[in-house]
Amino acid sequence: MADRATIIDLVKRVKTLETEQEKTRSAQEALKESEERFRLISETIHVGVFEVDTSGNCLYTNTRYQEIFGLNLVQSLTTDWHDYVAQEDRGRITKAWRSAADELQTFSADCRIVSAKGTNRWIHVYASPVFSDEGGHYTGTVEDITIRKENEKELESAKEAAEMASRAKSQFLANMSHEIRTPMNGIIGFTDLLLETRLDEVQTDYTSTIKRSGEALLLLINDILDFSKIESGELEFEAIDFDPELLVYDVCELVRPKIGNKPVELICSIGDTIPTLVSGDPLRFRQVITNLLGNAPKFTEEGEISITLQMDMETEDKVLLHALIRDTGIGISADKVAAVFEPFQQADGSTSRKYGGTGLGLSICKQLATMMGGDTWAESELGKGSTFHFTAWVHKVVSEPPQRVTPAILNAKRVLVADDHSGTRAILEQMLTLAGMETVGIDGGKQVLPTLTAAQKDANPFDVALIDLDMPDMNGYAVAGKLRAEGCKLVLVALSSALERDAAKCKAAGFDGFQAKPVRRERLLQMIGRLLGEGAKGEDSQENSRKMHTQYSVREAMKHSVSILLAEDNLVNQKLAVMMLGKAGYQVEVAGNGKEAVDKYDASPEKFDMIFMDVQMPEMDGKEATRNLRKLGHTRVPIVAMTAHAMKGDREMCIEAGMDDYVTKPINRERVFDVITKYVFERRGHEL
Amino acid sequence: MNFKALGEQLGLDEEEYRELIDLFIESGGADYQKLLDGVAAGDADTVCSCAHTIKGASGNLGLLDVSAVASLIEERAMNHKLEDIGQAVETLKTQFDAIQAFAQK
Repeated sequence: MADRATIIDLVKRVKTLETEQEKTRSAQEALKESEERFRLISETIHVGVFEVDTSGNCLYTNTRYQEIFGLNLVQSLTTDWHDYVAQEDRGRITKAWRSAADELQTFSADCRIVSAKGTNRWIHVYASPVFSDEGGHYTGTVEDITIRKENEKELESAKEAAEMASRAKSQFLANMSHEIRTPMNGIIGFTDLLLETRLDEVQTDYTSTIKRSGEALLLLINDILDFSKIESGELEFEAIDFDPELLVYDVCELVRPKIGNKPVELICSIGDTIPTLVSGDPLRFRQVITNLLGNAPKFTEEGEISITLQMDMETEDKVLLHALIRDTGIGISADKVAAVFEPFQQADGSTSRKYGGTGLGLSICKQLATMMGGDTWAESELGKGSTFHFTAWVHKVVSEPPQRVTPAILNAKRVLVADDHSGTRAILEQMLTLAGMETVGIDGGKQVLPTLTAAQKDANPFDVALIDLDMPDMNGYAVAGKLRAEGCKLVLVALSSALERDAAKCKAAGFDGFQAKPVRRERLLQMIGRLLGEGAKGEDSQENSRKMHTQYSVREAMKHSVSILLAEDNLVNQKLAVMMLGKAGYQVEVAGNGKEAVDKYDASPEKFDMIFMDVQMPEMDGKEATRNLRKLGHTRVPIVAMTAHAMKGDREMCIEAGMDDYVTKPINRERVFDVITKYVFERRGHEL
Repeated sequence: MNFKALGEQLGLDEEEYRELIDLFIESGGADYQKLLDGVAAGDADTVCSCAHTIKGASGNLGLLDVSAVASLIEERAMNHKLEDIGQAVETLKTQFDAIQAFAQK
């Protein structure tokens, strides 16, 4: 019984053993298969594979690994991969590998190697830690990236070469422009001198043409110079305090003559949140606005051109200024609007032939705006006109900026605005209302008298009337004449966009003051303030003693850019003074000799705040010119001598001739600016 | 000569200063020619006024040594001592040439 049981037991155990064996065999087969698969993969794969144990010994490498490093199996297992790292990368790689191993971090790096066979290669090594009971070891891959690196290097050097070539071209262009500009200055300067000599009519005509063409060419060159400066990254921006309102008005004055006699109204609207002083690059800011506004008259035959300056955003230390320039001109078709800002692109190839321009202006504007943190863009519809936008960030001025002053006398005074142009009326009404005045607007000349009479009847009379000279139903002269004939004593201010101001005609018609359009807020308010303060409508004031106020006779009372007449015959000194004063924000007009200075000043004394006078000049010297000016009745304008004769008695001779002061050459900037401050700003201050 | 530094004294950048120098070479050269003509003709007034012009322009540009030489010529011409200015006129010429050579570099 026991034997049988033993046999059965034995058979069972054999069976179990056989099953176990079978299991082991199939497991072994599976393992072998898996190993075979791994080996196949490892041997055929295009990346090198390696395994390193805890103590840094190499346990496994595949064929590709051996190929990359130029080793046989034994060599590959007895050396470290980083032994082959090229000298220049060795320090960096060894350090990185060690620190990765210390902290069991993933390692990944590109480096150069010199293989055992002396071949130079670039490799990418990637190794990640594997954690097991025995601790951490690494498995990694090695990739030959020599070709990729070579390509990258080639691309890089090709890119550098291209950039260098581009910079060199821009630099060349900048140099060329400069080289062209210099002789151009000579041509224009000497043409000016030539025009001063005795020429017959034909010669004068030819010479003027040379001058005009020269100036046009110079403009073009300046554009190209700017453009290439931007391209070559040479343009620098200044941080100077300036008044954006003043700047925009100045540009309006500059652009107004371009409209000529076309029926186009120029409107300027300054948002009341615009700071009185900001810090930025006024020259560049002005350049963009001049360009955008200067384009409008070229394309606008009738209607209006308006410029609006507003503040779009404000941060703690900066403001985003936004200028909108609208016109009712020919417009640009939708598909061309974006292209106008591209260099050398104009809306139409024929545009440049008909309207001139280099095709660079707008592109320069765009780049300047971008460099000021803003942008330029346009909206337009063919035949309906265009709106150009310009935005720029400028810094707030830290010191307390001067407040815009409004004469207190204006408060609650009633003003009638008669202008057929609704845009202008709206701006004026806004300006006057903000100054505390009660404003009524009417759109024609005929209604002026009835409106005034009605107000008188209601015991709510007007104090001032602003009357446009050019209204279709009844012009301003006629209106004023009629009012004065009716015995009306109201203060009357004429508004006109005509270029020629006829002060005598305005005075004869009975106007008390005159303002050119676009009207400057400050000038208008100061003038009305003065007129009301003087009581020009007082019963006892004699009609003919009424002093005609032009916009300039109240000029001392308000800020505006200082304009200087420079009498100097030497081209170098002329140019230097123009550069120096221009940079400081002054406007300079040059007269080539004393006679020219007298003629220029006498023709429009309101234009200039002071005169710098060279003493020694051909035709008429500075002393004689001064004597002539004083004789002509220009007793108040400051005249400062500039002389290289710093000899004793010179000063006395200058003062005797009627000059106020003198500065000696060589011209010293600070001294010049001091003199301007003394004679223009301080004097103006005293008279307020 | 350092155009950058000279320009800075006047509040101008190098390029602007170069423009002035170029203009000076041109117009100063014309003045110099007139001065030579004046010397040849024994016309002290012309010499004096040309030297004065050169003195002023060069002084303004900070070219003080040119200005000093021109000033010397002016002074002597004013006193009708044209016979004493030969050396100074030569110096002026050398200075002009040097500036021109430097500017063209």
